[in-house]
Amino acid sequence: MKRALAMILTVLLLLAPLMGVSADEKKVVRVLLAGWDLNDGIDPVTAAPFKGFLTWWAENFTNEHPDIEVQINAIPWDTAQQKQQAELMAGNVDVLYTGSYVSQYYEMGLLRNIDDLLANDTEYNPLELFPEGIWNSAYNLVTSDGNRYALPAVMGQRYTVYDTTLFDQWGVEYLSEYPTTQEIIEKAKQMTGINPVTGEQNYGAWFYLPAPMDIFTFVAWSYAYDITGGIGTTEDPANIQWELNDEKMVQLFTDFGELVKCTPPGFLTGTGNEYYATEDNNVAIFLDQNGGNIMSQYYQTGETAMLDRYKASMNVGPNGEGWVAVDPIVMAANPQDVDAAWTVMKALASPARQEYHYSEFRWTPAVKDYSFLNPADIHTPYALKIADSAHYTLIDESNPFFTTEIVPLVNRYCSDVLSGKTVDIQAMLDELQAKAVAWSASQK
Amino acid sequence: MAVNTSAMLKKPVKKRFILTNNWIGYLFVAPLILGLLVFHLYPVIRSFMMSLENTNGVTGTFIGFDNYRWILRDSMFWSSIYNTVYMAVLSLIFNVALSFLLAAMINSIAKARGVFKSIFFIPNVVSVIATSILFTFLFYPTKAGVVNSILTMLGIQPVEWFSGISTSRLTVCIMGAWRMIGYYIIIFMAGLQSVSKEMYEAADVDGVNEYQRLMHITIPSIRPIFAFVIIMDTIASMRRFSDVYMVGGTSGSPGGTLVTTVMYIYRNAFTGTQMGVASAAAFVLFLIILLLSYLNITFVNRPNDR
Repeated sequence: MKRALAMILTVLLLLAPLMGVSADEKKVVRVLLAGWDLNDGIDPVTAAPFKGFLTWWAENFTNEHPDIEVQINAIPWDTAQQKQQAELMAGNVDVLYTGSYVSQYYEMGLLRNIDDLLANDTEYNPLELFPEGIWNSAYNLVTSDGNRYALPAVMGQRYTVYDTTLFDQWGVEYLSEYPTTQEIIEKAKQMTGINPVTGEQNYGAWFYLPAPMDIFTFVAWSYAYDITGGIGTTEDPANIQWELNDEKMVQLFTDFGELVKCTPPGFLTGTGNEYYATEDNNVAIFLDQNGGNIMSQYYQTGETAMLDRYKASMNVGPNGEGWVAVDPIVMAANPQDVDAAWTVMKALASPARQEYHYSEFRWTPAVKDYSFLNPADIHTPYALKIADSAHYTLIDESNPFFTTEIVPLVNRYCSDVLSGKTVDIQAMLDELQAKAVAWSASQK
Repeated sequence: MAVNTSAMLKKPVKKRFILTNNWIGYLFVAPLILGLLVFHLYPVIRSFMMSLENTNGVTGTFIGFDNYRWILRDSMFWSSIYNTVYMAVLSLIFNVALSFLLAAMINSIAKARGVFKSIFFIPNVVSVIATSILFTFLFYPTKAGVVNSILTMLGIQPVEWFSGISTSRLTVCIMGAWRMIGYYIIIFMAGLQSVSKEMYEAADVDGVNEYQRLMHITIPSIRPIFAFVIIMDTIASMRRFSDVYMVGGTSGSPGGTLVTTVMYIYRNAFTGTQMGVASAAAFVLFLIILLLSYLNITFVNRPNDR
């Protein structure tokens, strides 16, 4: 028995070099992905099979990098923030795909700055790969004082979508390619009432209000009025010089109130858009919307009726920009192997990986060259054009004062407008300004 | 009578707090005690320490009681307290009164009690998230909503329900009552069945009517049950979060009417990364709940009834 065991061990030892790179020589990178489908499956909407990420990864990365062992885990978006923070604090992860709260991780010291890695990697030119607007200023990628900690992985789509059928029925000219806030308000008002053709109640506009951290439409409209919220950065909140009660802010709130009056019932709780992308739609203009539902119908049926009916135009910023969400790939503060983690990080953010997710799951790629888009997809190019001129201000969810004070204030203001209450906008903003100054003072 | 004087002359044994010859027993309870210390007591202490810091949860600087001063001067905090108490009072009225009445009705029938108890208890096992989504459609603010369509058929104008500033809190409480009365019915039924039948028989002999039976026998007999239900419902209401979050988001739409104190804490902690402020608010809420529980126990479950 002992002799047999000794012989088996000897044979194994002799064969070990033939097994390729041994486990000891492999660099290990632990990856945690929020919301990714790792395994092959079937799309519940189209019933079409899709390729899971692990399959794509094996085809495109594992074979090319046999010296790197990538341990990939996925978690659902629900409670992802808490789980990822726990993993980062415990040192259990090297590279993550994460969400809008990534700037908080960086402020907590849980993420590694990648400026040195970019500087040393002379063959890697991000500006050739990613839209300049988000690369240079997205708070999820770089701090306002220039410390870079992330690569863009997936983008959100937020632009203006409008129903040409309703426009035709009301006899209103379609929105221009770069609509202004005044144009939107005027046309929304014209189309709020009883439709002259169908006799149904129509509403001029809709946008999503009760967001947890942001009111995207309000942020986009602040760009249109050249509002920055003040002078300073979120990294140095104690020294922000707030500008929240000037004439531009008063005008923004006044016009925003006019827009809100054109919304359907249920708007305050995020409903009222149930007929969007359907034949029974009763809202003319959808702000900060995306073409997901419309494109899903096309992919499912091949029909282009909704594509023809629902047109897109740019957002309301001076160059058509609006707020752009970017979900990034980041590196933990102390990865096990920095070079291996950097290789994996670049692969996860690569245009090839983003093309895979666009093809299989219709995720919006954050890439400069989007020639791989489906020719029928007339919506995603708007999101990418907007990303190219994106910029960020203090009116942004990276600013704690914005999420805890300004967002609730805008919500209350919209509610007051819809309930017919007369709001003294200047007094409201004076109070907000005083509170902001007190908040900054408390940060010292 | 013989007296054992030797026992009287012996020195009394000093009682030690921990008896070393019971070490096996301590060993058995040690995991539980350790778990309580690590997962209950330590987080409470750590949270209090964070309430004295300007912190994002990972790094911070000591600032004393500045966070407490901030929240006590914050109109949004007091607004959240108002919303929480408002909905707590409404909930108390719906939940306690309705569940007691239904329990009394079920208790009065001879057959099929189990069926009715089950029917009323089923909503309690449905998740808050699913309930909120369901009720958002039931209480849709136009006549397309189920409830409004019924009201329209009866000639009543559609109600804004969740979307109206004056109706949102009431609607949330109705939703909460749907979920919770089944649970309280079970508790009340246990109490009702423990009331002595002899008292009712004696009352019948004295010619007491139903109302008098209820007010002078039933309710006084189950006063501790009322105290328990009121305390439980008060605590649950003061901790309200999931349902209002699903309906109105962290802004508490419409008009901030659904911002509860726990929502205020959540918003500061997880959207604003102001853990110090959130922890201070959590401690203030803890003190409020403690006070309300004490008042409940003192006034509802009076000593002469024990």
